[in-house]
Amino acid sequence: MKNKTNLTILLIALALPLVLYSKPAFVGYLTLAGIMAISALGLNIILGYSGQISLGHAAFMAIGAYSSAILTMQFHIPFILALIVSVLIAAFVGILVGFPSLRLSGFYLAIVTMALGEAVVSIFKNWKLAGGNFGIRNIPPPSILGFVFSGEISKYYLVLFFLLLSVYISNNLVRSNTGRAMRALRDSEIAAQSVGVNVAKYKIIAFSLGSALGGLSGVLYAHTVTYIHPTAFGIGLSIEILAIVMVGGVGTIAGQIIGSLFWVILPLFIGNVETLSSVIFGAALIIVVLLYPRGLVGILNAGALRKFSKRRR
Amino acid sequence: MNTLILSNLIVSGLGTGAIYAIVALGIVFIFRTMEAVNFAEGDMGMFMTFVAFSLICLKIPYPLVFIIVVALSFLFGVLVEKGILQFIKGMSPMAITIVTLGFVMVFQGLAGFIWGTDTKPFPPLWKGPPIKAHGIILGRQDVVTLITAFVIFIIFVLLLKKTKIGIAVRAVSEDRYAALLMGVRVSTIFAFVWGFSGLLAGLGGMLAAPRFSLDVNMMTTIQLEAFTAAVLGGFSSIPGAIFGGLTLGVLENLISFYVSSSLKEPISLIIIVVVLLVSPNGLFGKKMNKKV
Repeated sequence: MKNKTNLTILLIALALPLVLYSKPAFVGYLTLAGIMAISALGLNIILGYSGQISLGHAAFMAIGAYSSAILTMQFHIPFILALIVSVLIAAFVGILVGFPSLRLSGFYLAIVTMALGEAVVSIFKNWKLAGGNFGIRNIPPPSILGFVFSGEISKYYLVLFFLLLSVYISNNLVRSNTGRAMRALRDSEIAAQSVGVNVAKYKIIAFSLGSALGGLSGVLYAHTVTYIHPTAFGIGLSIEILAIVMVGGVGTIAGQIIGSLFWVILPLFIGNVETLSSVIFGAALIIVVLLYPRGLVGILNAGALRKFSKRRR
Repeated sequence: MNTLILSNLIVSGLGTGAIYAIVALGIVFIFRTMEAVNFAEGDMGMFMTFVAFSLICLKIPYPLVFIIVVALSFLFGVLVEKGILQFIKGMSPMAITIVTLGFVMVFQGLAGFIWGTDTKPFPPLWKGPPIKAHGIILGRQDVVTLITAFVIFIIFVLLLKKTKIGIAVRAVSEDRYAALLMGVRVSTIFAFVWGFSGLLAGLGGMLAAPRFSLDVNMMTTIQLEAFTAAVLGGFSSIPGAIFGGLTLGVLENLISFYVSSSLKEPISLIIIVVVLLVSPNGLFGKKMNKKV
C-alpha cells in the first residue's frame, strides 16, 4: 500500500507540468520547492538522522551555487562536470565543518555553524571573482550533452530527477548500517559510543553527505534562478531551511518535500507578502515544536490512520 | 600622538562594546537559568526599538519614550515566556532553542509587515557635538551608552546578590527541581528572567539604533557579536559576558584600524570558532559535565 501511494505521488509529479502547461510561473514555484526539498533532505541527514544542529546550511547552498556559477561562466566547464565538482567542494567543506561537531554539541554547535555560515557569506561578499555584494547575474541555464534546459518545464524535470536521486540516497541511507549508526548517536551519543559506534566517523559522514545535498541544491538554484547574491544565503535562509525540516517532519523523507511545498506555496496564498509569510512560517515552526513534534507528515499520517480505522469499524 | 589615537580607539570601542555586552548579558541570563540559547534576543530588541520609533513619531519626548519602552520590553519578555514558552517547560533546551528561531522569523516578519523593510532614522538619546577632553573625542551617544550599561550592570548584580528574587533566580539556575522543592515559584522566576532579558534587549536595541540605523536586520550582526562576547566570556558567566562584550568592542576597533578595516566583521566569527574549539569554557566559564 505504501508503494502504491509513492507511485501515485510520483506519477502526479511527472504529470503536473502537463496539466499546468498554461501556467509556467506555477511550475517555476514547484521547481523552487524541489530545490529547497533537496537542501532540506541534506539538513535532515544532519539534524533528523544524526541529531546534530546546523544553523549554517544555507552556506553550503551558497558554496554549490557560487562554485558552479564560477566554473561554468569563468572557466567554461560543462554544466554536469561543474555540478559534480561543486557538490564535491560542498562535501569537502562539510567535512571541515563536521570537525567542530566532534568536540561541541547542542547550542555550542548551533553557534559555531551559524558563525561559519556567516563567514562563508562574508567571504563571497569580499571576493572579486564572485562579484562581491552584487553577486553573479546571467548564469547560463543547465545544459547536458548539448540539450539546454531553458524552459520552466524542462528545468522542473531536471530538478525532479535530482530530487528523486536525493530521496533515493536518503532512503538507502536510513536503511543502511550507516543510517542506523547515525540514529543511534542521535538518540544518545554516549550509549552509541558504548556499544561500539564510531561517533566521530558517522558525524563526519552525516555532515559531508548533508552538505553535498545542500551544495547540489545550490547548483540547481544558481542555474534555474540565474541570479545569486551573497546575502540571500545568510542566517535567514539557514533558519528557513531548518524550519522546513521541522515543520515538514524532522527525520522523515516525505516531510522535507511537504515542508518545502508548504514554504513555497504559503506566500502565494497570502498575496506574496514576504514578511507575513515569514510570520506564519515562524509560527508554524513554534506550533510544531510545541504540539506536533513529528511535523506535517505526522499530522497527515495521524489523519490517514484515523480515516483508515473508522472504515475498518 | 600615537597613544592619543590608541585611547580614542579604546574609548569608542568601549561604547560599541557596551551594546554587545548588554545584549550578551540578556542571552547569558536566559542560558544560565533555562540552558537554552535565545536566538531571538536581538530581534526582541529590534522589535521594541521599532515600538520606540512609533512612539517618537507620535511626538512623545524621547527620554520619556526611552523609559516607557524599557518597561514595555520587560513586559514583552514576560509575555513571550508566559504566552508561549511556558508550555514547553518539560522539553529539552534544544526544543526551546529551536522555538526561539521561530521567534526570529515571527519578529522579523512582523516588524517588516508593520513598519516596512526600509531603513528608519532613529535619534540619539543625547544630541550634540562630541565632547573633547584632553584630545580624547567622545561621542555623546557613547557616553550615554557607557553610563546606561554601567548602571544596568550595577542594578543587575545588586538584584542577583541582594534581593530575594535574585537569590531565587540563582537557586533555579543551580538546580531547578531543588529550588521548586524549597518553595521557589519556578514559573515566576522564568517569566522574570525573560522579562529582564527582554529589557536588556530593548535597551541594547535603542542604544544601537542611532549608530547602526534602524531596520529589520539591524540586530542580526549585533546579536552575532553578542554571541561572540558571550562565548569569549564563557557563556554561563555574567561578568564574562560584560567583559567579553567590552573586549570585543575594543578589539574590533583596534584591528580595523591597525590591521585592516575589512577584518572588522570576520574577526568576531574567527573568535567564536577559535574559542569554542580551543577552550569551550571561555575565559570565565565553568566546566560543564555531560549527563548521561
